[in-house]
Amino acid sequence: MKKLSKSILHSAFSILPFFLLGPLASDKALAAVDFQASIVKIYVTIQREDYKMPWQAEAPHPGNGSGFIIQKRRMLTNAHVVSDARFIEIQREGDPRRYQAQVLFIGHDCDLAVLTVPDPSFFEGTKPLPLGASLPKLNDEVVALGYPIGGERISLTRGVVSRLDYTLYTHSGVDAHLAMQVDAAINPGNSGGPVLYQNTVVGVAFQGIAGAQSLGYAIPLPVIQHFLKDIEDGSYDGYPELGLTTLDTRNPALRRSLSLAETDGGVVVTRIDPFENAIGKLAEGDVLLAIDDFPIADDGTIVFNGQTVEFNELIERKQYGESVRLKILRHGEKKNFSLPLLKCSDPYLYRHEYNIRPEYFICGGLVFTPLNMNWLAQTGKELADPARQHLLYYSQYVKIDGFHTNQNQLVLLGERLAHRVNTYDSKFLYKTVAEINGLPIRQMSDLPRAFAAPSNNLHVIRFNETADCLVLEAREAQAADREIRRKYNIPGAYYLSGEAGP
Amino acid sequence: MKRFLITRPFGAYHYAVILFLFTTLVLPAVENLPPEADASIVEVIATCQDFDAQLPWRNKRPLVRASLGVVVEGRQIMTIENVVRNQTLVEIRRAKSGVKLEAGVLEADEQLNAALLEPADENARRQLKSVPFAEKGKRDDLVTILKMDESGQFQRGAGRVVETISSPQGLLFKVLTDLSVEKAGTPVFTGDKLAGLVLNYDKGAQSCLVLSAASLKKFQAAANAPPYAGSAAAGLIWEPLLDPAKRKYLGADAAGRNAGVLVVNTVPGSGAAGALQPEDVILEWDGYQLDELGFYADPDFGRILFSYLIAGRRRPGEKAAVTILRQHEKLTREVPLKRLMDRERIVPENTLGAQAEYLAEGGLILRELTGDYLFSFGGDWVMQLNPRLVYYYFNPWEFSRKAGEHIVILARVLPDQINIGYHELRDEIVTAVNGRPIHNLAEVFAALEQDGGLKRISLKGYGVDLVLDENEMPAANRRIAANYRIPSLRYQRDRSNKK
Repeated sequence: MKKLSKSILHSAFSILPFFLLGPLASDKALAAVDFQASIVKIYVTIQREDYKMPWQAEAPHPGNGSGFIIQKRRMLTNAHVVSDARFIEIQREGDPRRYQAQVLFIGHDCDLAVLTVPDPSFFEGTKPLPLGASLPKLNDEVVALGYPIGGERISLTRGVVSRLDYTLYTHSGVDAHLAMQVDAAINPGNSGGPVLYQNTVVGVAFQGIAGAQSLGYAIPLPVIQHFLKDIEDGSYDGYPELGLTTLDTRNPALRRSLSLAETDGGVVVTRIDPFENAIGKLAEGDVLLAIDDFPIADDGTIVFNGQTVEFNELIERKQYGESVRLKILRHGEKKNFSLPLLKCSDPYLYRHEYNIRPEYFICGGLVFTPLNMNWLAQTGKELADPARQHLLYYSQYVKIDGFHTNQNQLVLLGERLAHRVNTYDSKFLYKTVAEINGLPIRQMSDLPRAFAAPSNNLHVIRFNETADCLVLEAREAQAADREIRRKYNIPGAYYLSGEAGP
Repeated sequence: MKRFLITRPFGAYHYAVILFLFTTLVLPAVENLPPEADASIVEVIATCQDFDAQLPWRNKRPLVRASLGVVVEGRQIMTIENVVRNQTLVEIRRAKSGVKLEAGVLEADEQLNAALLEPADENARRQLKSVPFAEKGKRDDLVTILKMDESGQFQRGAGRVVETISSPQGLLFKVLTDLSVEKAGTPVFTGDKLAGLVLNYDKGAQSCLVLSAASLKKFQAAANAPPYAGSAAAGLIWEPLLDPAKRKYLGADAAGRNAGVLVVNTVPGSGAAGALQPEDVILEWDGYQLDELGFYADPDFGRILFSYLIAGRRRPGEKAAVTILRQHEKLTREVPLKRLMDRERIVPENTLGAQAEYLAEGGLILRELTGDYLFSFGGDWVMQLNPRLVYYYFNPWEFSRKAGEHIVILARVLPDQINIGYHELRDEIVTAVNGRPIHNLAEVFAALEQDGGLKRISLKGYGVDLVLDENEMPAANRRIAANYRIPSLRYQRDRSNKK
């Protein structure tokens, strides 16, 4: 997977020579777009959580992005513009007033958010931008509007659609959706601004690749429509998944072993995600021949609207509650069935989290935290350390190599707040907890009960990575915690399941 | 370490001379130089050719490595192992002479990093003079270091033993010196006896790590009594037992406040695996009391780690008598000692750089995971490679409780018609071949023998086997061997020969 630069919102400020401040009024293609009525600038104050010291947050910092007015007195922007925002203000083009805004819906997986302004006067004279009827084609001319670095007022850049392809959405770090690549300049601050084709919205500018030139990405119309349809019921659910890993069937010997006919294409299921929709319905070794009556070729593609796309793209267009019709070959027999796409919860989806207060639990100055993407991201290159590398492995292989069967969550010893009760315990840092005082630890919420049951005044903590165990004297640890909380300025002994400890 | 493998640039010569003068001014001059250094210290020059760790049928370009060696008892030449590793020609050069004489390698031990050579020519051999080994050595001993410079003459430096280190392989001294030491194998003397050979030199700290004469002497004796027995090992993974809470939990304080170390794990297939278990506390080893850091008082070398009682004072095949505390009960156990070879580890380091066994039939490169394979991907290998393989390398004892197990990987696929659809696969773990479970590459070869060839491969995490067309296989193998210029699509080590 290509490495994409993180949000284009917060990068360093520098004047870029290809920056464009066009003679806006004379632009014919945009004659119908009234910037003042439709385009907004978003000012945010962001405060990220500190996953290494989860009882406190990092320093707040300002940011800004773009957005535009859509139907029902709402604004569309990127999720990453308003994620972890403590305070949001919106300013209309050409109007000096700033209005406090709130997030109505946020979809981190598709990097879109809908905002509104409670003050009704904000919407006087506004005009929602219409969504396009269909995606533009390659080489169609588009313009990007927004508030990128280099100035205060609105900026317009022009280019063509360069590519339509699946791309990793870096905001969540794990989701890949269709993205529209344009060669119109898209820079930090453009995030959330509209990309227009014939005066209608066909994309939302959202990310770029560091070091690449004339290459910006916009969230294309189908993803925007999916999001807006999803929130119609008053909540955002996201994208359903089949939860399959497949291998293409181009190899003739593999095809014969699967009893595939010459005329059939298909992909063979090599793994089924234990937490997603296909579990229990499909089996490893099944060959997926067709999806919603579109035949799947031996390389996993289907012909859809005259274009060759990956079969997964059909699932992309579905909402939770819908079904998908599958035609499979199992043990040489063809079968047709309909698979309902339900909302599943996968505790091991290592996706960047936002607006979530991190959980922790402290005993004897040892800080236990769940392993999650944010912790990994903050650890960064230190994951190359042999004492931490296993966490990188778990984040990618926990379900493939079967660790999920023993645990619902990986709980790790993330930090040691030095005190005489834990002097010799540094060697256990970053190991994941298997059991405490004989009780298996399947998730963070098991910790209080396990630590309530020391035997002979000793807490015995066992880990998944070593046969060695950590021993704490229970009463001494409890007394130490009061001192540790005072010295290290920690407001509570834990934050678990939405509850802060004393 | 590498600095010893390259010829010293000219500028360094002057630098060394200055240091030498400085040394004689500051440190007391050491008398009793070995009287016949000219006849007892030689330069060892080896031409070596290493293997390509990723494409094991390929050789790297030959290179020349140099070290110093010392003539020891029986007019044999003692030097370090890594200079003669993968050698194609070994030559020695005597002091004040440009003449190079061919030498044979009698034995080389990569765990100890020692090698024993013998000049091929009997006449040349007769002119050499042996140096005796020093029997003892302690912290604060004064030593002399003799290095041979580019002109084949000696430079002398003084040093002081600042630390005795017992490593699982042998006894080492750390020697502080003002002499700049460029070559490994540079001899260190106490009086006219050999105290050891320099393994490496830290320019910043101005100190050498020296392999002791005690370890060298033991090595020479074993090398002259074939088959070579190597160093004894228990196969023990232990830790100091300092934590008072942990000592309480294990009841260790009953045996004395500062006694005993903790068994964390044992190496599968080792002597310790049968005799000891995690959470045992080792109180005594062969009659010596161990403190909580694992040190004991050695009569010859002072306070050193108890690993010397295994590698230094024992031979493979012997048994160590151990007193342990297990679940608050004092027990005695016999721990059989044997040589633990790197290649017996689940993920061997292959520090030797030996040619890896492989199978490349059907363009699928199957091999065992080794440290040198991982390192061959460059400085950022930990982050660049499949994290599962890196994890197996960092945590090797966690995966298998059986001796003889290795991790067989599908390293990569050489694209060909026969493996279409599989080209992208790399660094996946092979769990079965032709439906037969696989725990090492020898089992792969056995499966191929039994089934008449490679038909299907199962990979960890894949519910579907990779299938290959057995009828097409002979033609595909000829094509792949020719296209990718692979002289042989299989390499299996000869297991009848230990070397």
